[in-house]
Amino acid sequence: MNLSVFSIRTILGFIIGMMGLLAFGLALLSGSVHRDLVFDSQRSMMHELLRIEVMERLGDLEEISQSLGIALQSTSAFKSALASNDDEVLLKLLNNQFHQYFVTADVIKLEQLVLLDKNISTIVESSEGSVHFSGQEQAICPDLYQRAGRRTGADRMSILHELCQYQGRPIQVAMVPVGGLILKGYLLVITDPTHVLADIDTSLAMPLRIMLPDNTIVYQSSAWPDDNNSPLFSDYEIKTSSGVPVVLIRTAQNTGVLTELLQQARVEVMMISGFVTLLIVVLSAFILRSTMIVPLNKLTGKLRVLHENRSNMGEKLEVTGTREIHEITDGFNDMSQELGKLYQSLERLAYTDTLTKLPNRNQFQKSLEMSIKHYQENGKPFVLFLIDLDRFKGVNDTLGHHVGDELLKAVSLRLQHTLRIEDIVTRVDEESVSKMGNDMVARLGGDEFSAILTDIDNEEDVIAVAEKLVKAMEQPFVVKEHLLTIGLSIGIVMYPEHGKDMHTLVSHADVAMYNAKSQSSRYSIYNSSLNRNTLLNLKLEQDLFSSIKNNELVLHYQSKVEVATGDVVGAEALLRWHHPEAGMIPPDDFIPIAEYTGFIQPITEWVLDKALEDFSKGSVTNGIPVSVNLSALNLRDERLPSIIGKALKKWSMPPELLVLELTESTIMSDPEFSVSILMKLDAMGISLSIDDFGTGHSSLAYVKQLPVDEIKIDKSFVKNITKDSNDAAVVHAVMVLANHLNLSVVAEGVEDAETLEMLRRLGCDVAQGYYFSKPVPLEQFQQWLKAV
Amino acid sequence: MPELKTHFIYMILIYALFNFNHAAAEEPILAPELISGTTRVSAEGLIELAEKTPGLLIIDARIRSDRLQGYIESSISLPDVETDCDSLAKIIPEKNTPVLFYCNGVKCGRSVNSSKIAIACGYKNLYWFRGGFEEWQEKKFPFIKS
Repeated sequence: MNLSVFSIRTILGFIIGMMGLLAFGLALLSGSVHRDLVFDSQRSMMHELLRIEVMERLGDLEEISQSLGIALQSTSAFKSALASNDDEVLLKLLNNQFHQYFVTADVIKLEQLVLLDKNISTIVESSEGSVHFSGQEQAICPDLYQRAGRRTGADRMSILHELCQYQGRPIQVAMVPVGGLILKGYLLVITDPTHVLADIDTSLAMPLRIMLPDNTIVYQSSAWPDDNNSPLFSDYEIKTSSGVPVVLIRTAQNTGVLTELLQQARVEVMMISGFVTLLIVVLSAFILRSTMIVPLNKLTGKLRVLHENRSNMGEKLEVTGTREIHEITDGFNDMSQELGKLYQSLERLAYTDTLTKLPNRNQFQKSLEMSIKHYQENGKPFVLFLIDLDRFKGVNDTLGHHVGDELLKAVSLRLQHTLRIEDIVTRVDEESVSKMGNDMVARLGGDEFSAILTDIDNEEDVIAVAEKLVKAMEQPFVVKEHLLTIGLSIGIVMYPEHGKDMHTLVSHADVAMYNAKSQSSRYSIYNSSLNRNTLLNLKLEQDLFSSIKNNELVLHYQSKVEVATGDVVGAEALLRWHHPEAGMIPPDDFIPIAEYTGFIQPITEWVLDKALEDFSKGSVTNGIPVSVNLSALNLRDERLPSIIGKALKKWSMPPELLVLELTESTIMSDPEFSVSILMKLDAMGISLSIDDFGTGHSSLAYVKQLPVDEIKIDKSFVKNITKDSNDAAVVHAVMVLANHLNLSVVAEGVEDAETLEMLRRLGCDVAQGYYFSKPVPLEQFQQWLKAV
Repeated sequence: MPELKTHFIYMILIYALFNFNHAAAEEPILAPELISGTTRVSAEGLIELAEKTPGLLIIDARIRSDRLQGYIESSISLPDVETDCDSLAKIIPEKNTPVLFYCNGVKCGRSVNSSKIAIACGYKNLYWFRGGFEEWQEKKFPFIKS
């Protein structure tokens, strides 16, 4: 049997119940045993009473018989008759005895008187007697005669008594010596013992039955009970001196009353034992309850509590109970304390930023939830600051992480100091949070911090705090001999005006912060009119990272056409992003995000790889070169030449078929570094093209120093070339100079035949624009090529 | 009246118990084993003596109330307290007459007293039944009860 499914309470209850049943059974059993014992003792008591009574009666009878015998012989008439052997007189004297008082008054029932000589031979037998004794002595009383015959000397003088049987009834015979001290003979006094024994029923108050050994009933009381009532019998057997049974005396007692009494006693015993059992059950249940069940329940309850809330770990549990329970509890407490410590340190680790010792993002979220809950309970509003450091990446990149880390620590301290929350290190438990208020500064990761401030409920105060923060951060930080100045952008949301739930609140704070960044203001309080682009950017930023993996990026191609011949002389690869929700997103919208997030690197690599793959199959692209646009960030990456080299090798593309397009500003952001990279690329045999020429601040004089093969005149000049003579003049001038510098010129944004005609007249080499073809996917581009 | 009877039995038992204790605590005064100048006899000896000695006088030395319980046939009552040479002489004129003294039993000193007085008075043929009436009864010899 699997006992583990039962509770200790059930098992103990079962055991106690079994014990109770056992006690009940024992009471029943002892009841019947008790009854038998009572009957036995009653029977033996009846037997003893009977024995005493019988002995007493027989003794009385013997005494009377003896007295009668002595009295008879002491008369002078008897003596002289005996002396003269006058049998007639003797017979008369014997017969007279049957009319004496004690016989007539039924004191005794005299049956016979016999006179014997010294040799126990009959001399005279009374003729009044009902027992015919003479001549049958040996048959009637053999024992008596044998005993008497064996005696010699003085022994012959003692009186003998014997019970004998005569004609189916018992007789009592007393042999009394005759002759005073000198033996002359014997007198046999024969009486009926039944007569005296029958009286026992009145003295014992019990019905009596006298029976012979052959069960013949000699006497029976009138009140002898029915056998149906199963009365209690007790027998007493009278035997002759040689042990031959003569008479059986039986008394009876009605057991009805006794049984009733026993039944009553049994009920009482059962009730008492039942009560005692119940008492023991209650007592043991109580003891078990206080020593085991309650402490065990406490323990399991505590385990349950700990299961629900681990922060209660380590609390000491006090229980009463047995030694074993105490040992378990002590073990439990020790373990709980150890686990509690462990849990606390784990929690501290989980909710603390190890570098700055500020609460981390987890703790920030927890506190934010608490603050919201707090507001719902107490109506206390709060303000959330989302703080992003500007130029921190630069510090990390240029001075190393160890400096960056120290800077973050210094920033943390200054933030806390400024917001006067320096005493807050880590809030682990909810209790202390609610006690001390929810003000906190947390590091969310990287260079992003956050502050939750309560007790501020109007914009003026919020602005004051923001100004204070900005001002505090303007002071340079001294980190490892470096004097560092960093800026910060703060997005501010106020609860509950700017969002009800945590998620909305945080994303609105993000919006506000990006707004601050884009507006070049230090802080921005969220309002619903902040442009949705910011929000869109946030979404795009997240999605951009998975765009490559999800095959959402595609390349479209736009042809470059030789103005003089109309031949296709090249194609520009243009990146498109098929956003699963927003649809086709133009590069202008997501390239800045890619640059901002640093994701431009993998995107550039992908574009290069894809374009080279598409144009490596000369049969489909007529072996024309393909142009790929580079970002400013690409030019800052010194690995760029080797990346391009690998890609060319991969697709077995001659470097002459790859053109890299760069804007003026791209080069100008770090001219020295850019030029060195461009030199390397040029050395590899790759063509370089200046994109959007005319919009930047560079001059052809500067371009002259670069290893550039081509310039592309910005579409803003080309668009109005037929209408605006100034624009036409600029384009013409550029082309003249370009020719002079041996640069090929591409005009962008050609949308109609007039513009093309004008460009031809101006001597432009190559044109690009919707007039020829808009950017299309590779397949369409191939079809278009065939058509041309 | 069985209750009364039972009570009676208990009382006897208690009394016997008490008496036994009493006896054990205080050594009863027993008659001497022998009295010089007398011949000690048993109950049977008495009967044989009576058979052999036709002129035997049996003196009951007990006081009268004790004698009411019964006495040996042919015995003469002469309590020890009344015994002296004169009272003896009235009953037994001859000093050579065989005389036997008895009383209640071994715990009874009367036959001893009477025997000693008889010796002192010069009686020569004295017998002493030490067991007395108790022994007589116990051996179921016949006695007379008036």
